[in-house]
Order: sequence, then C-alpha cells, then structure tokens
Amino acid sequence: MPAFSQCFTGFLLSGAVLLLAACGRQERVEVLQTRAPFKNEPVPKPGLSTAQRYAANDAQAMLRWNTPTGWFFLPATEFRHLNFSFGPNREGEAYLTLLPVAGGGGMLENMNRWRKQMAQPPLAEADLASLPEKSIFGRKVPFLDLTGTFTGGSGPMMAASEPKPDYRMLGAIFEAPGFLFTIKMTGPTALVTKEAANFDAFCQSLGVGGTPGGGI
Amino acid sequence: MSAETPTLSPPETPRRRAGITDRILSIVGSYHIAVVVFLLMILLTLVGTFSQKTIGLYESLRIYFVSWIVPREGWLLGFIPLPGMALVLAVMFVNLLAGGVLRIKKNWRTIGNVIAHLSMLGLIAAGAASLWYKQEGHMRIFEGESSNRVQAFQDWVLEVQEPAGADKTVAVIREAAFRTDSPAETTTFHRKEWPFELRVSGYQRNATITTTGDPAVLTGSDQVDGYTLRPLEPNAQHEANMAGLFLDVLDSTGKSIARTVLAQVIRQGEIVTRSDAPFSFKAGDRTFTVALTRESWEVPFSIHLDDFIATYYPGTRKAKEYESNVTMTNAAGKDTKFRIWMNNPLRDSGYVAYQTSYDDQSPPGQEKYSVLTVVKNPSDQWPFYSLIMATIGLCITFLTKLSRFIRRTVATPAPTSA
Repeated sequence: MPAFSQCFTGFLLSGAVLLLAACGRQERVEVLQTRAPFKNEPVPKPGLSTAQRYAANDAQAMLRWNTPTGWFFLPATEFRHLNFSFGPNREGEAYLTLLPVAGGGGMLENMNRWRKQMAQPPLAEADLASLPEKSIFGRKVPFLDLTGTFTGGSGPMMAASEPKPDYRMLGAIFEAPGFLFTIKMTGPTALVTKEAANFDAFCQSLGVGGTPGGGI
Repeated sequence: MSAETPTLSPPETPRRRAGITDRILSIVGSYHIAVVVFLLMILLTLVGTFSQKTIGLYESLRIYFVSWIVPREGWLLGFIPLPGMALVLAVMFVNLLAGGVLRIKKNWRTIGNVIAHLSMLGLIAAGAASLWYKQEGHMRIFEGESSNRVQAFQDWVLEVQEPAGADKTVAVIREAAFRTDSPAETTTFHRKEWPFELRVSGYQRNATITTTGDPAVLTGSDQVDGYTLRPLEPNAQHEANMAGLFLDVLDSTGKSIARTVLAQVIRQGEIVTRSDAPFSFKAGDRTFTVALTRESWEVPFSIHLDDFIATYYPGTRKAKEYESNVTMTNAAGKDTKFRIWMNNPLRDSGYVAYQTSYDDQSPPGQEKYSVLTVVKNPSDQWPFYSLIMATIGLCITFLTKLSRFIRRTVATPAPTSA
C-alpha cells in the first residue's frame, strides 16, 4: 500500500476522532421519545405543593407555613414535625409537634412538663384560664413565656442536656380534633427576645392546606 | 558459427488498472488499519477494565465500551482523546468486510477463512444490535399477584404528561439527555406539542431531597420552597444512584413560570417518594405534570406468581437456591405454567425472564415477592450462532491445510541412497 495512502488514512481517522471529541453535549434537545399510558396506571394528582410532595410527616403534608427570614428549616425528627433553628450558632430551636390526642397527654400535662424544664412550679387546671393568649389557626390559645434555667431535652434526639441558665421559652399548646398541637421556641434569652416577632409571624402563618393562617 | 536464435518469451499480460472500488477496498481493508484497530481495542479494554475498580461497571461501560468517542473524563492521561469501542468496532467491521470477505480470493483454500471472518462480523453485529435495541429491567411480583410491567435498573427518566388533556401520551426524557458533568450546566427540552420548554439544572448523579437547614447542605444552596438537593457520594453500583435536579418551566420568552426540585425521598434507607404526586404546573389553561422516575415499560404477557420457594443453608439466611412457580398469560390469553429458577429462564415473545432476587428481608418461608430480570435482546442468540460458524470455518481451514500437507508429503518421493 503506497505510503501516501497510509498517511492519508491515518490522518483522516485521527481527524475524525479529534473532531468528534470536540463536539460537546447538546444543550437544547427536542423530546421525541414517548410511551402510551400503562393499563391501570393511576392518573397523576396535580396541585400539590413542594412540602406536600416531600412531606416527612402528617404535619408537613397538612399544614402551610412561612419560614421566617434567618431561620433554618431542618429535617424533621420523630417529635419535631416542623423543625427550625436560628441564631449565629444555630443555638435557638423552634418546632411544631403534632401528637395524637390519645397518646400525647393533655394540654395541662404538657404545659407543666415545659414549666418543669424551665424550673418553674406546675400549674393547676384552674390556672389555665388566666394564661395570656395568642391567635393561632384563627383561635385563641393559651401561651407560655418563661425565663430561667433550661434543663429540657434538646437537639434532634431530645437528649437530656446540661442546665442552661438565662434561657427563655415561648410556647403554645392547644387541642384540635384528634390532635394536640405544640409549638415551642427555646434559646438564650437575648436571642429569643430578638426572634420573638419572628415566632409570632411563624405562628400567624400557620394554616391548613391552601389557606395560610386559616382556621381549622 | 551460426547466429543464436533469439528466444521468444510470451508477451506480458498487461496488468489490469485497479478501479476506484478496488482502491477504496484496498485502503479500507488493509492490514495497517486492522493492526491499529486491534491495538486500540487492547488499549480500551485495559483502560476500561482498570477504571471499573474505581468508577464501577456501569460508568466504565458508558465511558469506554458503548461510546463512539470517550468522554473527556475518560481521556488517556487526562488530555489524550480516545475513540470509543463502538467506533473502533465499526471500523473493524468495515475493515474485516473489505479485507476479509470482499477482497479475499474465494476458492476452496480460503473458504474456511471467509466463514470465520463472517462469524466475526456476526459477533460485531450482535453487539451493535444489543447496544441499540436491548431492553433490560426487573419485574417485582408479590405472591398471588400478577405483573406485566418492567422497570429499568439503571437510569432515571423525566416523564411529562397532561393528565386532563385529550392526548394521554407520556413524553419521556432519558437521563443521558439531561446528565451533565457539572451542576452549573443546563439542558433545555422542547417538544412541538408543548406551549413551554423545560430547563434542567443542578444535576446530581446521586442525591436526595432535604430541607435547606440540613447541616449537610451548604448555606445558600439553590432551593425551592425550603427544599433542596443533598448530594450523596456516587455509588459504583449505578443502580443505587438516584438522580436529582432542579427544573424550570419556561414560557415563550424564556422566563421561568414555575420551578421545582426533583429527587427521591429516603427514609430509613427506603425510597418513599410518592409516585402519585408529581410536580405540576399550569401553562396557559393547561395543567401538566413532571415526574422523575425509573423508566418502565409493559411486556406483551403477564406473569402471575403462584408460589415462591427458597431453600436456605442450615442455620443461615443465605439462600441455597430459590425459584418462582408462575403462570404466564400471553397476548392471546393462553395460560402456561412455568418454573423459573437459576439458569432456567422463561422465554416468550422475544423476552427472557430470569430469576435474580427475592424478598430477603422477610423471615424464611414468608418471602413476599420475587424479582425477575426481564431482557429483550433481538441478538440474544447471535453470538452463539457466530461461534458455531467460527468453529465450522476454522475446522474447514484446518482440514484444508491438513489435506494439502498430506498430499504434498505423499507426492514428494523419498530420497534414495546413491
């Protein structure tokens, strides 16, 4: 085979390789592939929000809310169904828990558990009526605002922690049909005071389905 | 002294001038190209095999063995481009056809070689048919239930449909079309039936959905409604990877009218993404949905799992053997009983169903489901036929040479002593 043909062939092949290598992937593509619907394939349900599609629990699937600016929306845990942290070192915590009425304990029992975490004496049933109230889900609910040394469980696993002096707790507990809602915020007093307005805004934004702040 | 009579030699037969076809065939079918092709095959096999240890079988196949040109990530020493095995085999096919079949002198001495060369062409053609037409996936069937749906092992697809539209066709976008090397790259998809375009960005080969506050996610990461992608370490076993991406719906001006993040939700090691609730958006007065899911297809028969039987090694949960007793209903409605077990697959309508796995989480004797691998490959038996042909060709070549040797040996007189 003449040397010229060998060189020419080699040149053509090398050039083809380099040319094809220089071709990048397509950035704009026409979609041509299709398939027919399968037999008994369920029809997709449109209209669900991102939270409803990726809900980690019933609370996320059922509720609407606005995450305040500067708060971190954390993955849910077993007892923190909407879970947030805030502060320069993420030392502040805020979370909503949805408990079934049967196993969740009553409103008074949970309030006194929170008071114990803040080294406060327990309340009697009659004391509930004199607690301040906030409007959440379109209803007036009793509200706690406590300062002191916090000895409650913290972190995602609710591990018992070292006592934390100069802490503040804001919280609301109320019953809805079949559920007990608890909304709680804890952190250093100065930080919680700074974020108290955000906590109110978060509570006001809570709603069910497509109605932010709507009643249930 | 008489003049010597000049010796006349027969006139030379004028050499036929080679036509253009002969010249092309001589170049294309040359030994030089064959040598280069074989060297490239050795190089690609070495590099691809060594790479498999780090990147896994699927990626090694994708980069070196099924590509026409090796992508940049697989270039030799990082900067030398390489042809992919598909291109090398295509050149080998043409070279072998030209040099080993068309140009070779065809007579009883070379017929064995021609047959052997044809068998090699058959092997290469089998590979090409498998590359273009093979479908493979798994079918999970619970005891007492039937299935006719196969789900792909490897890649993810975006499926776009209009649930309330007159046309129920589902548009499918394969992962190969939206896969990128960097999350910063984007790909835009369009279709003449759509009043919008879809732009994919932030592609991750393996990721899951998480919230923006997840400590595993960088602050300021792209997010939608408080949800974002958490990249996971790519798995060498590609079927364990779960694609994740951001999707924008663009109007005719290129403006984003809807946005979402798509990935799988994992809880306690299980994928729990809702399959009935895809992303939805409105384009004008029409509603569309987009789902990120494994590619699925239906086969022209259904399989009912009558009984699943597993035998375990004593005192262990390691299965010694397992089998599925099934009833297959074909397209005509005829039922046939089959026993599918290791190396004993079910074959029907061009499909082959192998027993490959089962529910190994349930207690022995209470296994709930069986997993069959279903393959459709039109060239499934071609390698077998090609090897038979190669055997015949090589036997003919051997016997031809042997007979010539024997005849030459017999014809040559034994030397006698002086």
